[in-house]
Amino acid sequence: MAQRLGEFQAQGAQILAVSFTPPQRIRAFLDAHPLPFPAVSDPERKAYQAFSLSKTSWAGFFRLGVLARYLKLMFRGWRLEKYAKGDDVLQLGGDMVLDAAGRLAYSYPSSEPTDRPTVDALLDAVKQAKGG
Amino acid sequence: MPMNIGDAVGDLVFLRPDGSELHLSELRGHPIVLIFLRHLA
Repeated sequence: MAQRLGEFQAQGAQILAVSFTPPQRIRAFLDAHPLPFPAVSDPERKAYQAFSLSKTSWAGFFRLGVLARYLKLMFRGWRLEKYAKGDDVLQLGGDMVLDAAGRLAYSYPSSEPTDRPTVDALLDAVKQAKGG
Repeated sequence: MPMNIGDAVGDLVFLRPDGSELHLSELRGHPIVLIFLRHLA
C-alpha cells in the first residue's frame, strides 16, 4: 500500500489507518515506525462496530491456512510483534472506501486475520467512488 | 444494522495520536480509504 500511495493520491484519496490502540501508543509507534499516511485511534471500536468488523475465534486464529499465511509473511520479512496489554488478537480488520459525499462505496471486512483486499481492488474502488 | 454500499456513513470520531479528535466529516470532499488494523505492528 505504502509503495503505491502515489496512485491513491493521484485520485485525490485520503487514506487513514485506524487502530483501537490508544492514541499515546500510536504516537510511540509512529515515532519508531513512521507511516506515510495518518493513523488514528478508535479506542471504543465504535467505527469497527459501525462497519460490522467482527472478531474471529481462537479456532479461526489458529487455522492451518492462517498460520501458513503468517509464515509466508514472516519469510518476506514481516516480524511478529509482541502484543501489548489491551490488544485483542481476535479482532478482525477490514478496508472501506467512502466516496466524496461520505457514502460507503466499498466494504471488505476481513474473514480471518490475514485476509485483506488487494491494493488493486482498493484502487479500483477509489476510482469508482470518484466517478460515482 | 449492517451498513450497505451506498449508505451514508455517520460522522465517526477518531482520536489523533496527540489525543485530539478527528471527525470523519473533516475529510469529506475526497474519496476516503479507511484501513482498519488488527494491531499496529
